[in-house]
Amino acid sequence: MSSDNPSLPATPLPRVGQQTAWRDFLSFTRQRGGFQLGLAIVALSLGLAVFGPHIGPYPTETALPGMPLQPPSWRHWMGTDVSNMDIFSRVIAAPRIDLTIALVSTAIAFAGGVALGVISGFFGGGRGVPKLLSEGIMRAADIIQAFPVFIFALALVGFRGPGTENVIAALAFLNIPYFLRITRGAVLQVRERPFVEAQRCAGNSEWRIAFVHVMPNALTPPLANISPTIGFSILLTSGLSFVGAGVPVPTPEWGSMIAIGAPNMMTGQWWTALFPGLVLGIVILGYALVGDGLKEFLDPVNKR
Amino acid sequence: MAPILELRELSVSYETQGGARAVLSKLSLDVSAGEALGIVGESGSGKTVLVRSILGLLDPPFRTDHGTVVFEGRDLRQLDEQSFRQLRGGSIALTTPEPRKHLNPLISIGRQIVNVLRAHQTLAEQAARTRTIELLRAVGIPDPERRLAAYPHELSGGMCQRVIIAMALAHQTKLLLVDEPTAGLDVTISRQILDLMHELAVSHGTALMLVSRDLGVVAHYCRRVAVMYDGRIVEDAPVEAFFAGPAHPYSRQLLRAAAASRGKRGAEKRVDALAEPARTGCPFRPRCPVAVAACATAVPALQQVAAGRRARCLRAEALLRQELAA
Amino acid sequence: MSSVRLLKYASRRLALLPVQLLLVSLIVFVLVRQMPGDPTFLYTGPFATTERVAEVRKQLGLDEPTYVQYVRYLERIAYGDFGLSMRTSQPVVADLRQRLPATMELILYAVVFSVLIGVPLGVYTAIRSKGALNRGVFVYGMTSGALPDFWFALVAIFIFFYKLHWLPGPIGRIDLLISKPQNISGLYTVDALLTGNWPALASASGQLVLPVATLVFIYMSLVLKNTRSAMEDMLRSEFVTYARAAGLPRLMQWRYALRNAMPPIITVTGILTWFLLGGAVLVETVFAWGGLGQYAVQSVVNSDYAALQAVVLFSAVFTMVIFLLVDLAYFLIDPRIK
Repeated sequence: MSSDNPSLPATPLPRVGQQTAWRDFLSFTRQRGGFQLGLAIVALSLGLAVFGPHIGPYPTETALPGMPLQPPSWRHWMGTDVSNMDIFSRVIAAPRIDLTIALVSTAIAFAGGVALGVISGFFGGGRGVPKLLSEGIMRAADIIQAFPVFIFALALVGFRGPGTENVIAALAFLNIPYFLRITRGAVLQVRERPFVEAQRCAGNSEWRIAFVHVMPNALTPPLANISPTIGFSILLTSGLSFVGAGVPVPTPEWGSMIAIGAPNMMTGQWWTALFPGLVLGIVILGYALVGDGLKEFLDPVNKR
Repeated sequence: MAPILELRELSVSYETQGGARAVLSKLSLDVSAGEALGIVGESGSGKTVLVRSILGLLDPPFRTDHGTVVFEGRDLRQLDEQSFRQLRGGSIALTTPEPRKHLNPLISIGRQIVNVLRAHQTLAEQAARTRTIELLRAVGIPDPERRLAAYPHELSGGMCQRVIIAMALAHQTKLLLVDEPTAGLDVTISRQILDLMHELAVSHGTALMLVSRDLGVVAHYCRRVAVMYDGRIVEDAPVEAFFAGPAHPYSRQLLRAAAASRGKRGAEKRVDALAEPARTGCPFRPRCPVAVAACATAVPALQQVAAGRRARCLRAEALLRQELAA
Repeated sequence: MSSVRLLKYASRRLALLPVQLLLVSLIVFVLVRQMPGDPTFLYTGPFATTERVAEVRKQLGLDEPTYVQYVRYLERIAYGDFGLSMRTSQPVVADLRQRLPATMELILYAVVFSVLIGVPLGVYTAIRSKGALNRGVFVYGMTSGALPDFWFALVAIFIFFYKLHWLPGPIGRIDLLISKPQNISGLYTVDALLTGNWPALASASGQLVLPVATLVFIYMSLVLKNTRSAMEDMLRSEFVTYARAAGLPRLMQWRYALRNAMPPIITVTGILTWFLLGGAVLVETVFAWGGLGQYAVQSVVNSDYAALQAVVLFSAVFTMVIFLLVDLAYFLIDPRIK
């Protein structure tokens, strides 16, 4: 039997009154300065990821002629580093690589985490092979999360060698258990709703119910966690690059720029590491603010 | 007898994003020393808020906007925190529904009772312990010496309720506020608990204010009953007269609902799905079978309708004369 | 009575440890096999003859089936044999033993100060939910989570070492001109104190200030936020409301709330300790601390796989011990846990 059977209760997708939802969102946003700031930062960072490498006044990967380590001036807004590269041009070019890594790894972690979360949540407490699968997934997540995050990231990159793809793979792997748990929690609630039983009576297979009917209704919590995960991934990427296990020099990347500037901080050239870190902090703050705002907006308790 | 507690025009509101909502509207009520007053009404009528506001326990978003709470001649709303603290658990005590939730789960019940004792009087450790054992024995907890070390999760709901009563009656309590004593307990246990509470109150000369959705309990233990609807007292009458013939259509509905569910108490009759109270005129109007055009103009006053009874209904006298089939 | 209960619980809980260890070792084993290329060539060099390669493969046990290799590997780590570090040419175990106290000293002080500052501040802001301090704490909570610890450390060095000359520079755990205290616990401050070696104590403490302050500033908000929200929940709980209705003094109400907020506070302290082991990696690198974290970084950068593997395995064991301690503390506080 087709699940499109009109006699069945409709899967309660939040499609009803999309316009109202949008208006709710706008009025919610208008009341919250922090959320607005976060959205602005996120939008700016995405814009820089696209255009950043092309709009800076100087090349981003080559040394300029002249003396290195020039302090900030009208010519070099954030000064120049030890190889006489323009820091401002590099700082605004960095989102290209940092955001690519963060977005791709978060997307993979989201897809993998949600899929596994649906399986482990929907089939948990059942019997037979799916139950074993569910248990296995949870135990694996436990073990992955038994390692301190940064050390595990370092080890993953260490064993596979540095490079963008390996950083993406490591971050995706690390974040999967996180999305998995959040999704599983939501699925455990959704699967108790009456429409699930209705779909079962209509003769749908369990797997179809899990992925076609339950999953769309359990997506809100993992979706709300995308933004903070992106911020966290940027932070980890910069940390890996800082110790030379992430994005190799001279690619403009905040963490590696801070590493380049680190020795100069001890000899007074404060601009070398200050600006990349400041921008990095602001961007991560932006993603955290957006995450907090979305969580509050989507949380049914606060919605009233 | 002189009232021990006088509430005058007490108004409490609840702050929401869409503005303040009235929870108690100019509520006035007296409790005499040693009397047993029952407060009845459906959930959401403001009973629990009434109890908490007497004790000054309301925190934001609740706000007491207006009115006085006079206890033994003192306006409690003017009291500083320190003097109020001494009244709470001293002269005015509270028992609650779901007793286990109201006990600290990580501290033994003996220690909790000792803490309550010492909050109001200076007692040496040993004396406090002896007094605690006496109290536990007085509320019918077997083997009290051993139970001192028990934690709330090790006791049944009925036993936890007894512990709460022991705390409530640890001092010279003049007024005991009893909030939903039967909630969460089965019939036999709640009967035992109520008997105990009533007995102790009578022997101490403590006034009881018993808040319940259960009319049977009120009929059995109280001399007077006050009916609440939408944050107002709508009827206030001696128990016998009330059960013989209520003067407010809402009271009638409550009595009828109670009669319908008699014999299967515990399966609370839910009346929540009914129409919301009206914002203008008599709030009960949308549900009232005897409403007339005049009911839409203003909230009726709480008026004397017979000796010792008041009702907030334009048609109270007609109801009392049994002329209306409400 | 309760000590018997504790022993029973602890032994049951400890019985889980070997199972967890086995799983963790499996992960590390799989991880090591992720290495690109054939590790044989690390030993033979790229131009060895086929015979020589086969011989080394046999020596390394790489010609055997994977599960046999895993069992061999388990045997070796059971004897504490993690192989030789290619970078230091020392047994990895000796390297770890040398560097572990440095990291532990750093983490210990960071945890202690985070708790000593974070818990009271969290309790205070939960009780007084308005005022300037509260707003300050909110802003701090937002920003500290966003700032990279290694960057914060560098800025702190610039200000307090380069500009103000208040604190020593990032040259490790003790001034190069001052001899290390006699080794007892390995923690310089503790050993210096025990042996009355005041110059060493002063120098080691001075060197600790910036790295510990960095870790505390960045990670304390975890303790602060969780303490505040646990405290807020408990202050709103029925039993605190009832304690208030029973006339208990304010202070007693707060004690009731705090006691019930302890389990989440202990959990977050465990999480903090766990997180700091990772966080210490970057801060150690900045301060040339010479601990486990810096060792991990150097093994990654130099493809020192034996060393890296041992660090990863150790960090997992460390995690398990931390959460075991958290569970035991929980058990001591909450009589409801069977």
